[in-house]
Amino acid sequence: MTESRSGSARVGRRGLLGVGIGLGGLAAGIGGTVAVDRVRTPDAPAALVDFHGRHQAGVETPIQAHARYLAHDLREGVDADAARRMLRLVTDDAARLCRAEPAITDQEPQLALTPCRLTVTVGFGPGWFSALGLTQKQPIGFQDLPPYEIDRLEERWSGGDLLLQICGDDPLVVAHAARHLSKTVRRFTTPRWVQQGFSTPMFGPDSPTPRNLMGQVDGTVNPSPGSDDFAEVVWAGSEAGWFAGGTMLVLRRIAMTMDTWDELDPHAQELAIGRTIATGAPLSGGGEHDEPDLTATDSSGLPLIPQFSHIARAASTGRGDRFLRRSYNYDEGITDGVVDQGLLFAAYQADLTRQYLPVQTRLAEQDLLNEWTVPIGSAVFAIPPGCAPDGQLGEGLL
Amino acid sequence: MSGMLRRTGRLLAIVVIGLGLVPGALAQAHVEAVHTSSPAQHEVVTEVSEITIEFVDGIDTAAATFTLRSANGVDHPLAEPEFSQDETTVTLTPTGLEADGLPEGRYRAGYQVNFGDGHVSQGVIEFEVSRDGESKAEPWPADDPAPGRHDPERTDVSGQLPWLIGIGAVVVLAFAVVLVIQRKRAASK
Repeated sequence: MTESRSGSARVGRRGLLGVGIGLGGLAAGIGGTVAVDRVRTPDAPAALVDFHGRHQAGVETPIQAHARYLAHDLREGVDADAARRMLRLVTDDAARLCRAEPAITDQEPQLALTPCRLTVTVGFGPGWFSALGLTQKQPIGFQDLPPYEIDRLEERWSGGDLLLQICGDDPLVVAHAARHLSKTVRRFTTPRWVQQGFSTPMFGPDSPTPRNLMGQVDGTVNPSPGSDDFAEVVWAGSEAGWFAGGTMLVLRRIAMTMDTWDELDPHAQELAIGRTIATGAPLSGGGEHDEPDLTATDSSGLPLIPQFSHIARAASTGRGDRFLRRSYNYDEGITDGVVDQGLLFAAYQADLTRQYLPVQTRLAEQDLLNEWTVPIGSAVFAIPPGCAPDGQLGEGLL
Repeated sequence: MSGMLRRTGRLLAIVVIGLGLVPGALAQAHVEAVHTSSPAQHEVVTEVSEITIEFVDGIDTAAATFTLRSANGVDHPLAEPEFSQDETTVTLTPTGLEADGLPEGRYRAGYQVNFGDGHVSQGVIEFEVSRDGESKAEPWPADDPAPGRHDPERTDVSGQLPWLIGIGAVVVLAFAVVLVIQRKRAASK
């Protein structure tokens, strides 16, 4: 009886302990919620994104939860005619998959049936144009990035003749589309690399800006989808000939040294970024979407946004050096005993030479974040314009 | 009873830790960036023509910002900073000075530096120029703290402190009440 009572009391205390810790956690949760002051977007209804159109989908589309980028190299002997045939197959398969229909010869048709805002976006690397004898038609301003001192590029994440960018909110559907389209192109290409990422999805302009694994909001200064500004920044104009309505993608795999980043106190992290972690507001004040005031100073005359912080270095100079950021996080767990996390930094612009290179050059020269970010992969792709339902990708080029 | 107190104390400690109320957890460690300076922090000096700051380690001289501002908010332009060879020490020279250096008054020499590791440290060296060596100025305003002297917390829960303490107190009280009731029941059996 004594034993029983004692046991009962012990259970009671443990129960209380649980309640205490639970309430503690609840209180801490309240604190976190109040401090962050952001509204979570409710799950959006499943949807379809039209594959066809003047522009390819997957660029202006609000960012989906999952992405796979697949780079392929053209096989020896593949000429322009073969490339055209391949793109006809890709166009047909992608259009069906994006309608949540199985592709022709789809061996797992059930996996295609879930509408999840699937998009398939096709791009051509510099090697595509040279291998097919199309260098004369390479879009103006499209070129490989020059080497940067900060780069630690690995072949396994770099380059590629053909890109398939597959995004959607259901990872199973995305994986299925990636597998099927890989089979579609394998007669013409060899796989080079696959990179996959995830993001908090956006469903429209009111969705909160996603965060990267460092906790930063990422994409605050993006042009607003559907606006003239977006069109000017992202889509090539009529002067681009066959490429009008296309865009150029710079995809950089940027490893984050999270262990040393975590050693920084939060304010030092904010000084390196130039924004508050909690709200994304610039350190000069205001809200997330307010323009950073790079001239603002504190009571001692020191800049509120350090001159070598990330946003100070990345800020547009007003000379057209802007682009769309549509990046995904990656997390490969532990590799060689080290946390393997980072960002698949994806920048889209009408002309990467004019718009992207100036920013990348400034960041490579000096950016406090460079201490914790290491570019380990780099690739560029010309994303051709979209096509009508009776057309195919690559029209005007091939 | 002492046993109960001990247990209650342990529980309180756990709850407090659960709430993140341990002062050490809230206050992030401040990394002292400055080893020494001339004038020294809060020193009253009779004459100043240059300010020397020795940092605890070499700094990234290309990414350093220095300012000098008097208590009335006037910025004093500085010549190009001069760095020691090991880049640990900077000498700041205000330009356009009279022969006896900075006029009387209080000053803040601000620094915003990083040690080549991306970690920005910022702060001020506060000093007063007084020809007779006696302080003549009011204290620095309490609502105008020197920047970089304390780092903000990761999550600022200070405004919710009363709530959090209240919740903790309720938990402890409930624990004590249940224990007392259980003891009374045990004693009556």
